[in-house]
Amino acid sequence: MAYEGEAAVKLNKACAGEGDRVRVAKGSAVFEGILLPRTDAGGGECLVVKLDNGYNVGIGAKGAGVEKLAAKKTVLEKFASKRMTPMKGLPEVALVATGGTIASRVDYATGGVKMVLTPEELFAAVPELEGVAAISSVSTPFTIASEDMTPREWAKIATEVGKQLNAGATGAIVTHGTDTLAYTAAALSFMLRGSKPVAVVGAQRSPDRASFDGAMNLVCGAHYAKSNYGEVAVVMHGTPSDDYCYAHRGTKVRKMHSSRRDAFRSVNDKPLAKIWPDGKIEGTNAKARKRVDGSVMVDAGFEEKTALVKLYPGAPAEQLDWLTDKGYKGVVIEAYGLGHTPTQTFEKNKSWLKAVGRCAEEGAVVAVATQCLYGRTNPFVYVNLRLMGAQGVTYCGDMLPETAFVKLGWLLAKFKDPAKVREELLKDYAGELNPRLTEEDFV
Amino acid sequence: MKGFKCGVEIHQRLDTGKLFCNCYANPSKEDAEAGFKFARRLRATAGELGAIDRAAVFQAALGKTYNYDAPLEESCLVECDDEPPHGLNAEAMEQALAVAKALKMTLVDEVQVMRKTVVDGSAVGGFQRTSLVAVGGSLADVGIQTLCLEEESSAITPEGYRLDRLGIPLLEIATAPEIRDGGHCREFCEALGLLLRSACRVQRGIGSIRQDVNISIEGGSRIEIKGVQDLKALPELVNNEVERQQALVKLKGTKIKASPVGDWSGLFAKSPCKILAGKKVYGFTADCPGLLKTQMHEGKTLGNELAGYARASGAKGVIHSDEELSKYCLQDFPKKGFWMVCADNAKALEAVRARLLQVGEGVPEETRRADGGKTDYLRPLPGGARMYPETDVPPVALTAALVAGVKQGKSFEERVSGYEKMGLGRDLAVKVARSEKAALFESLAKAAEPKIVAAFLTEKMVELRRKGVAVDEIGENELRELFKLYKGGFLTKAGLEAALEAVVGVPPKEFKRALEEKGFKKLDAKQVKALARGFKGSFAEFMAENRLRVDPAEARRAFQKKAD
Repeated sequence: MAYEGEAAVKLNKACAGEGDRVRVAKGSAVFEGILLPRTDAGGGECLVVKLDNGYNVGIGAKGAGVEKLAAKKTVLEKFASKRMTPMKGLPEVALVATGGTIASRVDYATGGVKMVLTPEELFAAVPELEGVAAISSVSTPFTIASEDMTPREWAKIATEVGKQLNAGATGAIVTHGTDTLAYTAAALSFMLRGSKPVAVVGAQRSPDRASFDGAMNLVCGAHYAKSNYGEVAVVMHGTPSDDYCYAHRGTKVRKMHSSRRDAFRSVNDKPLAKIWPDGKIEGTNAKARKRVDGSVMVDAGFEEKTALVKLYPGAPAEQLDWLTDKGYKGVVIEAYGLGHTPTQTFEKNKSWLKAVGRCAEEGAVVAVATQCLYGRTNPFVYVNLRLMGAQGVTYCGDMLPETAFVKLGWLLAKFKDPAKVREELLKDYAGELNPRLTEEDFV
Repeated sequence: MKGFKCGVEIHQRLDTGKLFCNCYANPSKEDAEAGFKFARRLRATAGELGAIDRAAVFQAALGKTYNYDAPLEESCLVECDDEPPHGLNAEAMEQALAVAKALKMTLVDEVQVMRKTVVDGSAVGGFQRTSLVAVGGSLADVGIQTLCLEEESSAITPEGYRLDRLGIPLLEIATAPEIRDGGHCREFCEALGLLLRSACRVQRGIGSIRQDVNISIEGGSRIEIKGVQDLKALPELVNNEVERQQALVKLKGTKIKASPVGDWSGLFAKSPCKILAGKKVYGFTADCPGLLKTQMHEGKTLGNELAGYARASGAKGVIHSDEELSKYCLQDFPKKGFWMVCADNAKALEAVRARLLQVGEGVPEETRRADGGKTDYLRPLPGGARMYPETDVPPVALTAALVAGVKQGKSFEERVSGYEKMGLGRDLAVKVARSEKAALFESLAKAAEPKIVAAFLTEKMVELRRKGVAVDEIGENELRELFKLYKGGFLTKAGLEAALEAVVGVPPKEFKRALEEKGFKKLDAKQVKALARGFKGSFAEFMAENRLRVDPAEARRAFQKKAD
């Protein structure tokens, strides 16, 4: 945001611009320092000056005298960067950077955290990475916040990772924003057909902070990427401490907290491994898939006409009608409990039976996952489940709603026949279905 | 003293909720409870101008892991750096504005919250949030430069840090370098302390107010001495620092050559010195025998001074040839000339060696820690690059309406004279104004006669506490109810004082019934008369027996009547 009104006029008159040393006098007070860009959080008429004692203050332009003291501009926003020198003898790991908090730092123009960090700047914040793995290739297919990501970006990431793995990398690290990181991890789990380790890592605190959590996530991610695991995993803090990370299976993980470092949790499964920054790895899931060296096939199709709909009391079934009318080929309903949906409501039009039936009749695949997240759906226990089952829905078992959505879209791009898609939906591709849930598999 | 410059920074905890979350803590009052434990590592980061602060580099290079204890009642995810800060606490800002007005300062138009890099672990996020609220102003003959509203740091524990203290609002008031000497420094700090206690809601007790003193002399450098708590130590502290800088200035130009730090373990394998025998011992030699005996000030040599650098790097200390070696059983140590050793910590000895080689340059800029009247090296003086904006908190506009709504904090004298007008004698008025009960007194003053309320709060309650009565369980509502009962004629004055003990643990609405049961209810004139009539003894004996329920004037009248 630029300076406005009286602030802009006075700055123009004084020929002063951002980075110049200025003196702003107001009443008996005089403020001397470097003129900073205007943040968008306040009004545009407040001059922001960084004083020599380090403080920034806002001084209203009204009634203030502005004088430029020195033309010498301070160069803003210069950050250290480091080019990785792959160390001989270390396994080669590819890094694919996509944006997110892990690639962000304070932006003085907007006053917010912005994604501007290059991988080289990120390496400067985590120099120890060089001693863990030889970062053989660094690619940035795009830089975007994870909330802005669409399935098209999943395909780009999968293609890039596949290319690097087939070019000889032992494993790969994908840096990513945390909000939709679990969706991308699920997508990569389906799209990368092979058994090499891919660590998807993010950060809850940006690298401009001394408490940057992504440093340990990256280091542990690098350990995972050169390990003998053969799956896509989310590698993030295991506890609020900087002690170890968990590698969570890409199809069984969810961001369960908006801000904690250990926000990611395995749901209906155990994490694959505990990874310490010194390289110690402790397996925590007996069913973890092992590495198989060889080529990785990239199967990055995704049917964009796939939707995820969450039920809530009184939710209008017209939502589904709208999707049907728009030609959607697959819908995952995030239903209640065992997979319950409104079927016998007092007001007939609040029942979803008819809308689901119509959607299925039009050739779309309607899948049901539970918004309980933990536990599995069941098609038979209550009559409502059976009524809806008769309309042709597929109950997704213990698959997370997000994973079910990703898998459905991916299957719809592979198979044209809805019956085949329904059948494949219940086939385990990447550990997304856990046939055995134990007492331990809950919070 | 030529070129003497001295200014102070006062840090005062406010008695409001925390600055950026909804927790409240008063560590000087509450016993610490153990909470959730976690450990973090901090890294040096770049400031907004791209530079990494030298103090931050120094700390980050230590590569420490910090242990935290987060009491669940007094800290939340915000202190743990696991949740973004909430908006700046408006109540704390009001207190800051009241003080700014009392010090006749100029407010900024928009308060920008900054992150001040602190990577010694005391702030979990690696920075302390701070904001400049006002500039310019004065108190007595000393100019005030800045008033900042910032977060308190964590409390240090043997294991690491405890987070109850972290985030409590602190007012940081910095003066111009206009302090004339140690005595003036003490006087000024006392005056400012009184003003703060009078002008806003402050926490009381150990650690709730701290002074940092900045001192330089001609040819010396700016030294920041942190954490002075005992104002009585200020004159000695200031004098010692002046002498220390003078001594270092005299050493300017001294040329020293030293050997690199080497592994001397072999020399100590069978040493009679218990501190070093069998340890990994590092050592170096230098061409400056006797130099470390140079006195800095009374009770401190250059050797002690240098050992502070070793301690700051985690070593217990160093041993060198300018010391009385027989106390270490090293009188027969074979090396000649000057040498210095340190057990198990090469980094610490490197730090001392580097400082020794700097001796010829004079006084290095430092942050030092106060220990009574003496100081010890803590870390290099931080530069300006340690501040960058706290982007998680929007700036706070100090609008005319907001500022007008805040009353100027009363000065100490204004408060005392106000109390005098309420009928308190000068001594009692000063006592109340100085005490932490001032706000409580003002709130309760109208519940009974102000004089009685004041004496009750500042004297009677202290007396009862000493007797072991749980007076801290008696809150404002309980006191108000007691004063109401007294004012309404249900209690005598003696009864009021004794009743406090009788109602501990009783809810206020039950007071009347409980006190009646315990025989506290004041007798009316008729009852007193009847009681006096049947009493076989003197007036004094009668009062001794019935003082809690009989008004002395009433009793006197009854005895008069009986005699008539």
